[in-house]
Amino acid sequence: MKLKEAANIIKSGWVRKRKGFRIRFEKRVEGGWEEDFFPDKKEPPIKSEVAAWEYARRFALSTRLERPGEESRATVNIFVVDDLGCAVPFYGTNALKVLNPKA
Amino acid sequence: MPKIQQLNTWLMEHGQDLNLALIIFLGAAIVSGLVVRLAQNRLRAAKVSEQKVALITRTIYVVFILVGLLVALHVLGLQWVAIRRILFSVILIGCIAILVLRRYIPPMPFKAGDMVEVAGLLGIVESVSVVNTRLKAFDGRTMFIPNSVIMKDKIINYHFTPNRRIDLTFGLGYKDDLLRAKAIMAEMLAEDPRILEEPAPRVFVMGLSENSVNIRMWAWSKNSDYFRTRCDLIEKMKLRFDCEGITIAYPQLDVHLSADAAREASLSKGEDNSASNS
Repeated sequence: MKLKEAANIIKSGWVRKRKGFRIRFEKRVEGGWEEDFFPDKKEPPIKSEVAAWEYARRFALSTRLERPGEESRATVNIFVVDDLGCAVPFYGTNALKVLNPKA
Repeated sequence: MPKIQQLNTWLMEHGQDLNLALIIFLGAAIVSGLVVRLAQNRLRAAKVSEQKVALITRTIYVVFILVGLLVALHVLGLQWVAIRRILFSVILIGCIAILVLRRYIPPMPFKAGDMVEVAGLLGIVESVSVVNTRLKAFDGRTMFIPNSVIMKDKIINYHFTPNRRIDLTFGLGYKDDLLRAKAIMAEMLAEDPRILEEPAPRVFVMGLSENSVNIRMWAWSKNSDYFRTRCDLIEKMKLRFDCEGITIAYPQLDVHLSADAAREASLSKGEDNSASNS
């Protein structure tokens, strides 16, 4: 096998280059909870993982269940996903992290 | 007839036309300034690039001045046919001059919208005039730098090429897992969507210093992503190293004491004290 061929195999296989990040959350609808994302799937994703987690953190704080009088806009199970929809481990702990968790 | 009388006669005949022509030209200059300002505000609000804003506003200005001048000439008595011919000649001469002379006139090494460092100042070029260049610093200051100063100094144009290399060096402790650290850095660079695949990012051991093993990484990103990507990489690598138990070394000194040396030091101190007492 030529070196160039091997290099191409390695490049495509050893680590997947993500194309961007979105924040996945569940919002309250009639009868339960519905999954949603921001930015929307029609919009370009966020390129910075750090920025995505910061958005998720602030979003979680502003839509947490305990805020009195604002239960209708509460959101739960917030975490960052990549362009394929796979959960991204939080870079600070290298472990999966869910904000505003709800069973 | 003395010249002053000739002038008097001419002014009596054409004075009003001259005044009207000057008023028209003045009006065109004022209106062009207002239209240019309005266009600049609208274009900037529409997030048009500074380079295009400069080009469009300059074109508007030239068109208004030209129209004003041509109408003023017509009021002074020039026929439209002659005006058309003058205009056509001026355009042709201008094109010829640009085509022939452009290679001999060095352009400024930047344009509106570029981020440059010149004369020790860093900022975005807002406009380039004949006399000076207006730069806006990132803290909001507006700086006017004479072009004569710029041309004598070295200029760094961060937008001349579309991509830029991020250089980061991490000093790791001697007892830390070097290979694991390199693997983490390489994976992090490969995953980040803003890091370009060509040229490929690289991680290598730069040197062994007094306090640390220095690992350097090179990665290319677009100019627009450079700063944020660099900051994100530093943050992510520091936190990931913390999780993996890899320490970022800081300057420190290891002092080793041996029992024999300590005893000798104590004895010599005792001898010094007894000598000074006697």
